[in-house]
Amino acid sequence: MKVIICVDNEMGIAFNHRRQSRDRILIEDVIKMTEKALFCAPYSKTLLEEHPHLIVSETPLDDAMEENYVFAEMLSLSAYAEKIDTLVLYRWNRTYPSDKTFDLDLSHFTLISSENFVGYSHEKITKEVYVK
Amino acid sequence: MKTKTKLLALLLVLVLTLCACAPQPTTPITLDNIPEYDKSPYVIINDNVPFFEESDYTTTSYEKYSPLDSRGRCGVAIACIGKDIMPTEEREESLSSVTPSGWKQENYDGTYLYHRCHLIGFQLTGENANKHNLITGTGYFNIKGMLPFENQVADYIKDTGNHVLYRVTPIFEGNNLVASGVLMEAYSVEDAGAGITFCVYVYNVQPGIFIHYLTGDSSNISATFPDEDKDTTDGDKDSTDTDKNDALLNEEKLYVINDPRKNSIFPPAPMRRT
Repeated sequence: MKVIICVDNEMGIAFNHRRQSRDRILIEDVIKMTEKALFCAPYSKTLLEEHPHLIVSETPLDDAMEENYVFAEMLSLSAYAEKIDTLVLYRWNRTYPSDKTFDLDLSHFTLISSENFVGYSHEKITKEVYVK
Repeated sequence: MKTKTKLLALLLVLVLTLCACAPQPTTPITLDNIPEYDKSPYVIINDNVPFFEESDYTTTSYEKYSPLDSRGRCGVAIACIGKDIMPTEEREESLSSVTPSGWKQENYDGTYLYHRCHLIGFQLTGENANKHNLITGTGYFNIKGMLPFENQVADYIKDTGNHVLYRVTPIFEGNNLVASGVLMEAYSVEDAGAGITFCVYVYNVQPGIFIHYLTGDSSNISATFPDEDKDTTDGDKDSTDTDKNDALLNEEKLYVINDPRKNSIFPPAPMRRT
């Protein structure tokens, strides 16, 4: 399974049951990368409504198959560590309030690519791809 | 005599007008119902639900600041922030022309203790050297406490074009010149809080430093209490660059300081190592 998630400088992913941030350029990149199919939770639906093959599920991490992508904003990943073989990590390069943090151990993955791009509302977003 | 009466009447109208324009402190929060500082720079208040009233919600941008009180202290600042009032250029003007209440700058191990802290951050409304919008706050308070919330609000507005109702209330105990902290409230209007909703109290403290909130005087805890270990401090002098400030957020802290909710007259509350 391929998981996509966004983090701030302190590896936070959410505050008060809300995403820390959003950026339409980042979403365009996600849609382009996951054209065939993308799973997400209901919370993310409005953000990804332009995706041509969006699959909204209460349990996207359970429902996605090995070849599928999951947009996992605000989801705990630790219970799915074995199932995740690719991780796409977007770094906001900003610090936001957080009460929920990224909970996978990155040392179990290998970084295979890293690139920066300018977002719509963020000066620099870093996209990192990790594989096992 | 008639002229004098007219002048008095005019003055009265002016005072009443100014009072009507000033944001009213409607927040039902006192230091008595805020928990002690405990390692986190902020604490959630009222389950993160801001204390705005229905009549506060609007999609017309504005910003209001309170007049200084008789001790020169700032009051509540409120804004409905939209893209139209956000700054489009980098901050250039220095803040040094403003001396907020309790401003007694000290340098600890090469780091300035205090920042001139915007109640409503520059990145939100572009309001810079406005004495009604600047309080004396520690670097920790400014960078670790307030800035993450300002970042979240600013980036949300930039991406969505929506408005965020935003209020910052400095809380002074008694006659203290330095605020114990601020209450920060925010609510995104167009999506009824789905994007942004928070209500937090941010502690105006600095790990390792004892602050006398009545006057703004400060001292290194290890000097004040020789039995304690040497501290490490953070913060930055009058920081203007949010990216640089973000980098500072990653620094580790060694101490929890005295309880700023109390009047900070010696002796302070016992310290604990974090």
